[in-house]
Amino acid sequence: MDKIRVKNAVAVLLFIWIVFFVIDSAFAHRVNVYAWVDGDKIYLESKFAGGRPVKSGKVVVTDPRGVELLSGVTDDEGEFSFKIPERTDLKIVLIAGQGHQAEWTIRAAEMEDLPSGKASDAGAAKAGPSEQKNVVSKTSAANGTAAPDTVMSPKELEAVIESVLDRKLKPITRMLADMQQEGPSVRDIFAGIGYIFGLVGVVAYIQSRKKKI
Amino acid sequence: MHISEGVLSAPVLLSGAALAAVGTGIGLKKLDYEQIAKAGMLSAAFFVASLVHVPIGPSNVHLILNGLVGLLLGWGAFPAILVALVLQAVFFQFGGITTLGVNTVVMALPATLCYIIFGRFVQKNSRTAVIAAFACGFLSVLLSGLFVALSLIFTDENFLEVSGIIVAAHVPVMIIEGIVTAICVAFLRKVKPEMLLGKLD
Repeated sequence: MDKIRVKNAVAVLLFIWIVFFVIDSAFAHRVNVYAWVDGDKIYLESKFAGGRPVKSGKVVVTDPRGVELLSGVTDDEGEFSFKIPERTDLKIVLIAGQGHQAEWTIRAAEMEDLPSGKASDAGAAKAGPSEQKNVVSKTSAANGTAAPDTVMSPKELEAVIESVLDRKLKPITRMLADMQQEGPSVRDIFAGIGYIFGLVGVVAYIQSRKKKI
Repeated sequence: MHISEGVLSAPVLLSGAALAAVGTGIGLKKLDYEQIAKAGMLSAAFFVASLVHVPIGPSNVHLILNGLVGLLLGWGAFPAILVALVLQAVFFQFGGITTLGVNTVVMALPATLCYIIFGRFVQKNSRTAVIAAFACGFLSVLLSGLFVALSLIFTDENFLEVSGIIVAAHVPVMIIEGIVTAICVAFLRKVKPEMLLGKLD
């Protein structure tokens, strides 16, 4: 009799499954936020798991102590941008409403490379000297034969390299962000169902032992 | 419907957890050997249901299916939904571990309430049963929405406004859930009527 029960149970599950996947198999309801520095602005992109943008989600930017620096609302693409308000670590919280929220932290270190040359604050200065030496020695080793006449201060050189790197790395940063925003995979889904069935087995086993005793 | 981590204050989280623990305790006590397979299956269905995105409406909503779980399990909905929520939090990052208690109550309590209201009708003639099942699916989502709003009341959001938004956003889901629950009940009545009994206490 139990066998029939289980058989029917499986049939119902399959039925429900089919109903679902005919309706829509997109994923919903985790909020993702991603922010990056470009020049002196910070850009923010937000999505629900599955890729729908968070429209008019509230964005709150705070410093590490939790003091609110600025706030705003995402547009129809789920994007938002603002000028860097202060050179500290910034905590960006996206409140999508109805109890959904996500956050992203931008480190002060990510802001060091302002191309406009405003980067003369403490953070940049601290990181500066050692890296500069490195850059110079490596470059001179690499093209030792050529370019004795390009007069470029280490500082300028660093700026150029950084701007090129920025440009080249941007797609990769975006790609990484997209990867992070992917919805649950089929593997996750089956893993979850597997856990549930496993639990059923454990509970059934315990109960059956109780029954015998 | 999943409330994320960091939204609610500690007292709300703790009272949610306490309520969830009580509900789960009662549920486990009432869940006898015969019902384990059913509970697991519905837990799995609930687990998957949240991935079904309903594309209608201004907000981002998904199926919940707590009405169906409640209708078939009664108090057993608590452990079934708790297990599914743990796995959703771990695998999908829906909700979160700290909000587990609140989320369980938000979804399992309406399920149980709907079972208490509508559970007795599903064995009646088929028309009544289908209508009751629809109402059950519909109402449980509605109640869940109100519970979410209620748990957000202690944060800075305004109750009436929030509940209005949540309920409005979930109207399509309520209708779809009602239909899905009705279809499932109609199907089960034909194939496996004893499954529908739940345990009448």
